[in-house]
Amino acid sequence: MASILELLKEGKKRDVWMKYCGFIDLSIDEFIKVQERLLTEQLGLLSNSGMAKIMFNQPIPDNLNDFRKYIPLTTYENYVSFLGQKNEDVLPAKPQYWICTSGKLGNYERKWAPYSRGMVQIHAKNFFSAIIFSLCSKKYDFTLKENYKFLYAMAPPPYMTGMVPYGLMDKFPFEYLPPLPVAEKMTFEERNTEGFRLGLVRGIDLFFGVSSVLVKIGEKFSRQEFGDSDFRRSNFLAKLRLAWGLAKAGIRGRKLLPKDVWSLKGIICAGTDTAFYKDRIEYYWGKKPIEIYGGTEIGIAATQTWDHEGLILFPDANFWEFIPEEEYCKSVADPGYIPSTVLTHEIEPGKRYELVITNFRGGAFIRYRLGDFIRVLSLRNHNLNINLPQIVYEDRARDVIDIANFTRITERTVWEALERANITHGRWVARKGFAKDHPIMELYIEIDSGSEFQSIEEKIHLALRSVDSDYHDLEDIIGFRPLKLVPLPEGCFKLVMQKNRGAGNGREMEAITRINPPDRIIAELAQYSLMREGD
Amino acid sequence: MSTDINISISLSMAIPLTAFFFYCVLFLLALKSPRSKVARIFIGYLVVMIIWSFGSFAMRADIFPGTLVWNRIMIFGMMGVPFLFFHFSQEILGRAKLIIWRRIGYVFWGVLFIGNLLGMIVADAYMSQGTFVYILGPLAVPFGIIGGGYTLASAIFLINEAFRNPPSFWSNRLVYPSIGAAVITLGSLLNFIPRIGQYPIDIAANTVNACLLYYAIYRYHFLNITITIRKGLVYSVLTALLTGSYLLIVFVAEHLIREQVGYSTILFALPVAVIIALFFEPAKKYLQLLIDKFFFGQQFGFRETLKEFSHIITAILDLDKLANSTLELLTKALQTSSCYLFLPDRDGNFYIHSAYGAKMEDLSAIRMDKTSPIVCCLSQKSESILTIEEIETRPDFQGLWQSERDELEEMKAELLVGIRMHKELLGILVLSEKTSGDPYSDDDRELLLTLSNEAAVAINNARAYTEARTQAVRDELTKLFNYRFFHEFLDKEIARCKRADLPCSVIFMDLDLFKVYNDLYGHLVGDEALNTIAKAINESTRATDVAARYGGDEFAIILPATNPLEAVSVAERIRNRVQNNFRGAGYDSKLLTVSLGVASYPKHAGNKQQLLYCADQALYQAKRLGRNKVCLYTPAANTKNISNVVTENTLEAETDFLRKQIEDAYLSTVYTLAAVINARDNYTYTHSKMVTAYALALAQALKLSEERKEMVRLASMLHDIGKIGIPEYILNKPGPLTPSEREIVQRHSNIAEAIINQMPYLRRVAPIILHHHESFDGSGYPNGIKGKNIPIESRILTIADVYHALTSDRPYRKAMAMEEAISQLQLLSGKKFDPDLVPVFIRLLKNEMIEFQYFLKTVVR
Repeated sequence: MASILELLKEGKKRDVWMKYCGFIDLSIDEFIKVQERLLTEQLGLLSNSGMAKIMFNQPIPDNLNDFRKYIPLTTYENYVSFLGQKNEDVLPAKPQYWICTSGKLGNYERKWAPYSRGMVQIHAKNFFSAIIFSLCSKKYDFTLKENYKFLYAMAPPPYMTGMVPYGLMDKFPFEYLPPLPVAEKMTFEERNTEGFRLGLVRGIDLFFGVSSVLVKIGEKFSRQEFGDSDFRRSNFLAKLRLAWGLAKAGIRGRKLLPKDVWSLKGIICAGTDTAFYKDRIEYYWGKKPIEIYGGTEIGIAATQTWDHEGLILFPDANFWEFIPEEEYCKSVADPGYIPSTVLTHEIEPGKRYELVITNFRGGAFIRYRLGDFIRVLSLRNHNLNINLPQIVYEDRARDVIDIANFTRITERTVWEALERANITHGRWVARKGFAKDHPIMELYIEIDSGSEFQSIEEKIHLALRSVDSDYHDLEDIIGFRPLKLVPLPEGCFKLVMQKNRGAGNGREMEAITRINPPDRIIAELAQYSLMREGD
Repeated sequence: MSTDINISISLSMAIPLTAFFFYCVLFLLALKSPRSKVARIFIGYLVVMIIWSFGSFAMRADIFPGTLVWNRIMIFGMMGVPFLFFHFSQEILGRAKLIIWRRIGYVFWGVLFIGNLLGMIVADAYMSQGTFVYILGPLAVPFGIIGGGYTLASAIFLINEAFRNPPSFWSNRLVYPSIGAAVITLGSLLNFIPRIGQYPIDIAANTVNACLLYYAIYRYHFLNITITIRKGLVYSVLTALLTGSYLLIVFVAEHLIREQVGYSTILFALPVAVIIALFFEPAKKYLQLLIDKFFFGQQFGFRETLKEFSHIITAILDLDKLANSTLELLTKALQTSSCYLFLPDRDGNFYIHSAYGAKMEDLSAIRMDKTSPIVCCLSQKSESILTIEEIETRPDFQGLWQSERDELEEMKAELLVGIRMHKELLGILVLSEKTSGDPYSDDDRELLLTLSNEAAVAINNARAYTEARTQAVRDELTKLFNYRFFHEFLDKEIARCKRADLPCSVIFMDLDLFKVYNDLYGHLVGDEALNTIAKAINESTRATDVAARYGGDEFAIILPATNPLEAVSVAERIRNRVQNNFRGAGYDSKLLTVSLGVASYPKHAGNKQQLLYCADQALYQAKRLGRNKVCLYTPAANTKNISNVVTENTLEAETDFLRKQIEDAYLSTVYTLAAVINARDNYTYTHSKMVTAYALALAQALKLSEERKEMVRLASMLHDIGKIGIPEYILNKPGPLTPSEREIVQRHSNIAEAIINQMPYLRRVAPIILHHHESFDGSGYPNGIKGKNIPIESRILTIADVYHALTSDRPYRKAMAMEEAISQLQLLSGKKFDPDLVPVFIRLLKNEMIEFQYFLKTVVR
């Protein structure tokens, strides 16, 4: 089989498209067929592994119905005994890489996930699909050249994003900015700084990173903070590029923007906030980002297409099951309740679901509750004539606040910060919200009505900086304070609870988590806010 | 002289005109190709070639605005060739680092363009008496060096890539363009020798280059450009050329004769024309042959292949031979490196039946599951051939398993062809890449389709033949292989394993109590059980495993390429399945268990005999450890080996084994006797079972010891065995018996005692059976003993026997209701029956009816 480069040189662009992006032409029945077949392979691999015995102590069924009937839903706790030890002997396939999370979720130092050779190939292929979507404006029409300058501003191995360039290596020759061996030794901030510095000299064709970084750079340009000193420090080629950018901006009669300096061919961003930032990124960089959805346990799971609307799940990434929100709520209220799941062809537009995944190609996770929530926009994309469900990724986990794909604040983080802030407070809840320009954490907290709210907010903010290094980086790198305090009078929660009990929602109210409670509860609490309009 | 000059002029114009024509056609073809950067540069290259060729023609034809102007235009085209060809080669090879040389080349072109306009390359050019004369300028030599250098460098790069090892995607595709580039370089450099340069040698080289490009396009679809050449068109062109040449020669001959001889008549011209025609006919045939060989040589080969294949399929019926011959033929005809034939197994999954050009041993594990997208796709009428590119590219193949992808890679699969008959997919041909590295042409595919259609019929016939032949090696009852085939196959398999250094395992399996089962339920039911076991074996083994009925209730299974531990897991699977199948189908699953012994080559044995011995020993060990077990052969299991190392545990195991053996024999006897009763009289058999149930219930209510209860059970089961010596007409007599008949009947207790006493392990129940017709008051037979002298077990048996007889239909009377029978028991209590036992029995019947019924059911079952 010819490589992508050879195919492109032969003018077989359509073949490249079919291989990487052709899945969008599948019907939902064909999608399910692919899913079921790959699941059958996985069940065969699992039944020969020691893992199944450790976890279930029963034979692995060989068909989908029995699989869903007899294999229980799992969480990381079910895997920690062997994944935590990186015990490869019990796995369904030999891992090529071990990938981990930053370990901020739950009680684990780190969550480890093994990736077999087949998994690496598939997830690299899926990432390549996203690259092609980011480069095209209509079906089959994209331009991809060898040695495209790729600013790859994501975490290095052993994080999932670090694995992808290695999977891409035998697919297409990109020139990474900075080169991978150098980048892997750098911090996040250094990698971005060096990447853009090199980009000034060599140009940037592709970007994969956090959308807030692009916004931050755009803002820096628009505030004219990219000034003389940067210009003087840069080398000749960079100066030339900047001068050319300045000339273009001058002709257009506005301030210098990144799109004057670089003409990015494709932008790929990960994280929930991409949708929030996409218009501003287009303004600063001249191109909207393609949002992809992925994670340690699921690899590259879904991508937007060239209309930048809904995400489409890859049929060969994982076996997808969905817990409807009402089933999820029942399982929260009653931990003994086993929620039912639906498959991709059974999901309904407008509804929210928790994702449950089973890895393919020898992965370890089986009916694994990811904790991620998606919302179904529609069952097909009418504009692009795609007959697969269009989804949006809403939350990484209901009990985690993910801000700009930078930090994941848990209930424990907030408790520690409140403890360290040394303030007197009552009950509290926190949720992710959006300020004018940025995503933030809104903290609804009962405090003494006579307190100085701003000083309390400052104390909590400083405490959060000290307990969560990512929160600290968020402010330093992106440059905004991601906390909004909503002070509530003492007894406010009690009132709301009583009111809800009266309305027959008492049980639900008691089961409400402190992180990301339902909008209805927030709305009721907000009515008691001590903050006046304009504060 | 003037004729020479004219011919020379015509030739020097004809060559550039031909080259111009060739490049124009190439240009039009390239315009149709998919647009890529490489294709665009190639088009540019063709444009400068066209300019060069046409400039040369116009210059030599001295048409307006004159030779010098056309020379300048020609030089412009000539100058562009090295730089565009360099750019083209760099783009194909992806040499981004040489971009600077590419740019420098274009700068040179610009400089030379100006130099050309100023007459610094060719100072002057004109036609003098039909000869092209030119004077080189000061930049001519630098241009020759730079241009030659660029073209030569490109040619070297391309040749280097073309002969790279391992071959790249561009290998082969680049051979002809790079040779063409070398030819152009040579042709252009010859222009520096004015004597040669006056002739269009450079353009002739360009024409050669054009031909080479045509061939690269025709043969390798260079730059994805395709040419379809119709045979008829080629013949038409040939005929036109030959006719023209013929007329020209006749005309020239007639002209020369007229000039030399001085006159001409039609009578003279005619024989000349005929003589020339006689020469032309063979020449035409020869040329046609050359064309056939050049353009259609492959089809010739294909026709031969098809002929040979037709011969094979009519001559061979054996599937193995047919498959091997077909693959050999295909491999040779299409020059593939290897070729595989997949056939479906009994489950519909496809396995490699034959391979050519590859070792079967390395690939025997390769399978195509019936749910594979490849199988599904090739099963459809619309899709007969799949390329590896389609499999890699089409989204509906995303469901392909990683193992399936790896297997395709292992086979270096390029083409997959479905062999279909009606709607059934009979087989799949997998062809790996060609030895030349060329892609498969449309003609190749055409041939494959024709062959696969013919192969479908042949395979279908061969399959039917093989099926018939298979009958001869199958066991008639179970349809498993027979003993002879098992041994033949094992011989071959061990030889194969020796060659390929692979393991091979054998399982010996034996039904634990099949003899008893057979005796108890009869041979028909026994045969059913054997079939159920054969089914369980088939369900638990692969299509490549060979399961045979080794003897009556012995089975043996050969597991190719299977190591000991895998074989044990297969054996365990069979054992479980046998158990589940029997349990599910309502058989007497206690009796129908299997013991299995496993041994492997080469771990346990170095040859067939040793392997069978080891498997047998392992089976023996499984039996010895208590039946319904799987044992892997270990040297310790060999009795010869353990004789010197007797430990307490092994002694215990030995004793246990012996005890089990005795029990087996004992149990076997009881069941056999019961079967004898059953065979003679079904009432007696049912009666014995029911009496056993009642007697056991009573014995349990009386809290007898386990040992005595066992004696009650055995005695009850066998109490009427003596009826074997009573004539059937007396037993089934509808009316009352005569005194002499009664006397005969009463002998059955003594007969029973005599039979039972022959069997040492049953001897202790003989007295119970002997006295079961004694009465409590001493009025019974055969000895007339009374009261507690009658063994308690006999007294129990008497009550049970009479109660069941009263409540059963007999030839001489109808069955009594329970209440009536109880009254009879009460009436005879103290007379015929032990008065202490009757109330207990009645209580059992009345007060504990539910539990009693349940107990009865359990015992009877």
